[in-house]
Amino acid sequence: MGDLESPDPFVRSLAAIGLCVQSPAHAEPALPELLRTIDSAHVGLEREAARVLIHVGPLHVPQLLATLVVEELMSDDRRGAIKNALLAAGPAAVTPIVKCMRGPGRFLVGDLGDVLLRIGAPAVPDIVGMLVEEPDVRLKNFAAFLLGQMGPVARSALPALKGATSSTDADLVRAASAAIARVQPGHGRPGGR
Amino acid sequence: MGKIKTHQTSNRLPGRASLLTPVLLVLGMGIGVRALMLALSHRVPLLVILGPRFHMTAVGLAVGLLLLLRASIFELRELRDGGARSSSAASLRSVFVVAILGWLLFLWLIQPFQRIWFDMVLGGAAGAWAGLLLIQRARGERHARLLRWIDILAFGICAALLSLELGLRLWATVRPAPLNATVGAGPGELVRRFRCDPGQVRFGFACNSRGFYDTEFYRNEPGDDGPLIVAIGDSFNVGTVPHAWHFTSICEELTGARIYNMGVPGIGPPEYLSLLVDEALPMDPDLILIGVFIGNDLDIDEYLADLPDAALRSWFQRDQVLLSVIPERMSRIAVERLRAERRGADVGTVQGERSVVESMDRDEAAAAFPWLTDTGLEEATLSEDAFYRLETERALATCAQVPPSFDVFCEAMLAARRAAGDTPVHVMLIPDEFQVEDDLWMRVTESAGRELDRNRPQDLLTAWLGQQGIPYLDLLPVLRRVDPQPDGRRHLYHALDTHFNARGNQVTAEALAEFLD
Repeated sequence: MGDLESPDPFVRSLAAIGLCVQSPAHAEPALPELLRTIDSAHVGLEREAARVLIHVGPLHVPQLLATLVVEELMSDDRRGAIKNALLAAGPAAVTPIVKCMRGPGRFLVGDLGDVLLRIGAPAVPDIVGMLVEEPDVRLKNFAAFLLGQMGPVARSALPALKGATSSTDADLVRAASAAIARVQPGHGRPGGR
Repeated sequence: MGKIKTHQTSNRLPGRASLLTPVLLVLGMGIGVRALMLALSHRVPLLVILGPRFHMTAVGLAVGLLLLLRASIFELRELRDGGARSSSAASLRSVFVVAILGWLLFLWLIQPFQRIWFDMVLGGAAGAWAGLLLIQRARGERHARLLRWIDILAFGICAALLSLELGLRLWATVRPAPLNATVGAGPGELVRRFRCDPGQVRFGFACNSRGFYDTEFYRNEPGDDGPLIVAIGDSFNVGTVPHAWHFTSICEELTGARIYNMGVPGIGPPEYLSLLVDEALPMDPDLILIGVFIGNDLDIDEYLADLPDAALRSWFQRDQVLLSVIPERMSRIAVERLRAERRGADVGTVQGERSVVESMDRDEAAAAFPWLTDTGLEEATLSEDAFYRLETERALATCAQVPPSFDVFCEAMLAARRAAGDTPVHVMLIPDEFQVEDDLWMRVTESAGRELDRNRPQDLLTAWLGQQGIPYLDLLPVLRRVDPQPDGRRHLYHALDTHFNARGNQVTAEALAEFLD
């Protein structure tokens, strides 16, 4: 732990990696240093830190999401590593991610949506929740878009998508219709089955 | 060699000098133990970093320690018995050779420098030295002559390499030049190395006594004509056009202000700050304009300044060692020279830069350098390969992510504003050519192989500058507004050069004049 305060960035990075590997559940104090290491070329441990983040990330989803929200000016490498760690968390990360998208992380919908897409079917119920319950029509739109991108794995979202087609917002109706066409191949497509 | 010597000295009484080898071995054991402890205490992260190589490293250090122990016992026993012992000179020679080989190995394979790697390599080198001593003892009698030759040859080569590095460092101190600059050089040092020579003639115009591509500078005094503006910048301020065609000269005419052009090629934000404090503020200007080039001012190697073990780093980090830096630079120059020879141009100089020595006004310059008014006559400064490689590297550094030195830039600008006090500091953002010429952008994005955001640097910088209340002129929209010529290019940058040509200087000067008004 003491090494996390070392003036030598390499020693700090080693300490962060060590703590994350040895005790992933208690690695919270090491996460900021681990994230810094990911884009510190002069330390030379970028790949190792990104690998360890995938190992430890699933246990610290809320903290990773908070980092994404707070550090707006983040390198693509660091952002990519966090996204991979969230992806590694799988279904367990879905609810916090959707909560973040509907809360302080609205500006991150692109990145977080990408993670949800890659998680796939387990993310569908929460995205449907966003489509149905979210008051912000832009997020509803985005939820419909995501479900459409998921394709047939989001079949369980069809009732919610069909419900969205009766919305007063023309954009949402368009997005929901497009999503239905992708989730249920053939539906609404000329000449389809 | 120890054995050879020992035959000659075996009847000698043990003296102070002959204790050297055992003392060095005991010292080596201390180093070896420390290295092994270090490796074991960091075994978890090192296993992540090194994988199976960690076990090999740990075993290697342990073996080295055993060798040190064995050699120490051997030497101490010999010392007690008054028998055969290594001579002090031979011991020092072998220590020196192992140290230099370790140094070279480190520079070649273990980069960037980190203290823990250094300590482990030191432990390994101590073990290797002990092994060498034991081999010499075992083989000494049978291969005495051969070993002695190897000993002398290895020592000679290692001494020559060290002398060469020391000589290069001395040269760099006495005659600082871009060729011998290293990454860690401080801002003031970089300005000193890269600025033009006083009186150096470029396009028929002699640099002033301070080495700036402008007329002589005088301190601003009450009653002087017009406001005094000091323009600080890099090679864009030095320019690739005759003085009368440079944007600062044109802007002077358009605004009636005096603009002192303090340009030094190859510098960045920390050096701008140094120039501002050391050379601009003493002029007591009415305004300071800092030109920030997007292409390389946001990707600078300033980080070394704050890292620990600076002295060790200066010897063990490859980009700090002149023996490594200079040949690499020279080979690049040689390649470019070869390409330039095929084209019949100077290397690293702009078309016609050194061809005229007489002072010229704007019209005379236009007659002497017809490419000023006809971009079709421009000759390339760099080879195509070098140019596209450079542009791709710059795009990757600035448009693929938050630029690596964005924080350094912000700190330097805030420090500049603090240092300037009441004197206003304004910033001019100079886009890279790939942001202005569409065909170049397409080529760069193809070579980059990843998604790039063409406007990202300006988006970040303008947002930050606006937030800080620092007035800025963003030249990107200005240059993009210029109508393309029939070939689809705007032709604002000299051919394969990365700097403004006459058209680029004219457009910049007009925008700057409007901004300053």
